[in-house]
Amino acid sequence: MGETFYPWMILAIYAALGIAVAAVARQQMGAGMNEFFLANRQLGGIVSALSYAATTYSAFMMVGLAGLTYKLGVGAFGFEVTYLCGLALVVFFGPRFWLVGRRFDYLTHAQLLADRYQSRAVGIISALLCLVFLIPYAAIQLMGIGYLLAGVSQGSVGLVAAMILATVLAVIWSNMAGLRSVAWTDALQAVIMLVSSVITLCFMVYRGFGGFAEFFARMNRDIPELLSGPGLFKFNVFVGLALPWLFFSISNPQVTQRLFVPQSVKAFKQMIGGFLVFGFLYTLVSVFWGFGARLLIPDLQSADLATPALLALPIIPRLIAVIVMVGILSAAISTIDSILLSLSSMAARDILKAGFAAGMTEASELRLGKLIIPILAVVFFVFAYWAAGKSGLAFMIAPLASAASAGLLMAVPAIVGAFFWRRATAAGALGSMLGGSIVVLILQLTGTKPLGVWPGVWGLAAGILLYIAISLFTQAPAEKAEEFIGYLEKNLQKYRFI
Amino acid sequence: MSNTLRFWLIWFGFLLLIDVLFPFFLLAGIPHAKGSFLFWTCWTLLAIGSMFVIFLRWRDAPTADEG
Repeated sequence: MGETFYPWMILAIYAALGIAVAAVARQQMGAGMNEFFLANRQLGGIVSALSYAATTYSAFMMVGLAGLTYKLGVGAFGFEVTYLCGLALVVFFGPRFWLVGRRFDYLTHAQLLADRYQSRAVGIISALLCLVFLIPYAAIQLMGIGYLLAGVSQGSVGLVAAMILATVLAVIWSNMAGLRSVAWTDALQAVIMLVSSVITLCFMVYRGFGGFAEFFARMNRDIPELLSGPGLFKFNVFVGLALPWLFFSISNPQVTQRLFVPQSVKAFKQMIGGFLVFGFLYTLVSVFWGFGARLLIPDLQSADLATPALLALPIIPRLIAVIVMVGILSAAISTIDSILLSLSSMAARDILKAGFAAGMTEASELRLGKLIIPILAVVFFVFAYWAAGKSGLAFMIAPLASAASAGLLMAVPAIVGAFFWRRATAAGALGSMLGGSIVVLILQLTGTKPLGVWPGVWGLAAGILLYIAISLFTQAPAEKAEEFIGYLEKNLQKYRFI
Repeated sequence: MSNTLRFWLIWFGFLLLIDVLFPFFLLAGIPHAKGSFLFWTCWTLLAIGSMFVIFLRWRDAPTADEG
């Protein structure tokens, strides 16, 4: 009974616990779009920190990053901490998002851009970019779950069953109380993710190697090529992967939306500090898993199987392996439900209402947003099902995640300029987003890397050039720019923001 | 742009530069955990510490927002 029973029993407990937490969150839910999608901008610091961490860290970490470390070595660590330290952007931009979000009642960053540039088209294109490029990113969460559950449960939970389970839970938790249920279940899941992964690391290091000293000694002795310089990373691969992730915190809507929700400056500080500590620990654990798997199981056919294979080893107790499986499931679902929530708010407000039904009531808008959640979830599932049947580097989880982030990167010039450059124009923002995205899409689809440089880098360079050049030759919305940037200049110092 | 903001932007730009240059060019000949792995660990702690220095100064505003 045990082999089949354990995984399903633990999954059932996890699902029931999550639904209970979401139900409690629902009791505190009020009415309206702000309430559903932003928890009325009243999230506390600890929940914000854990939710930010769970949203940001996905199946990519324990499956993709561990796999990348397994395959290419220490450069994977460098690439991931480069992302973590990209949070410096939140230290600069977070307070600006937070202040203008409250002042102008923004729900999404697409709405912020539309208002700042006084152009509905800017909001629509920005939201469409997010929709297009977040589909593969959400889909890889499902793929990660599929690989992992099938591996750890030794087939008792199949790949497709795992993806369906994750999709259904993400839809339920998003719909029950919007961001409140997502944030609360995220917080629970973040704790499961970190605790279960650290426990597994201890089992791996002490049972597999006899302690950390011997673990490092084995790394130095057996896999020196993975520790030398950036490991087996080529310079262009490293930059191509790291650059989109560096800007992740201000380009991904499920993350930028988090910048609107802390209830106070104190909560904002707790969110950033808590995330940094969580992120550093979680990154170290994921990378150690990758190195450990490389030492213990050196001949895997696919690097993405490093974690499932590691958890299937006899040195990891079966119960712990199953709990870790739930931890990774948590990481994936907490990312998917946040993406579902963000994209549905963008689809409802920034595309459908702004583009086609300006007179729509808030109640209708909310109903529409809720309706879009399951539709998007089905799209994610279909993409994941298709991609899971492919193989090769292009379909390894880490590069696929980075390709998605490369597309989202194209909104960065418009976002940065919105806060700092009064001369910036809607035409410049549109030109940079569209031009940069076209460059990225063409290079991604043709598999081309001119001069060995990855698509995101070319796309960003094109986007910046277009943004500046077009803005200089078109008319800026001077009054709005003054109101927006002037408001920030007056109020940043008051909070000692820089 | 304030001088404080300018200073921190230059500082983080410098950190970003060494994040890439050190492992690829200075530590390439050290096949050991005391090479790039140790560098990136210390680099991360330095970057995180810098962020703490910035945001620990933040406070809730004593008066209503202007504007």
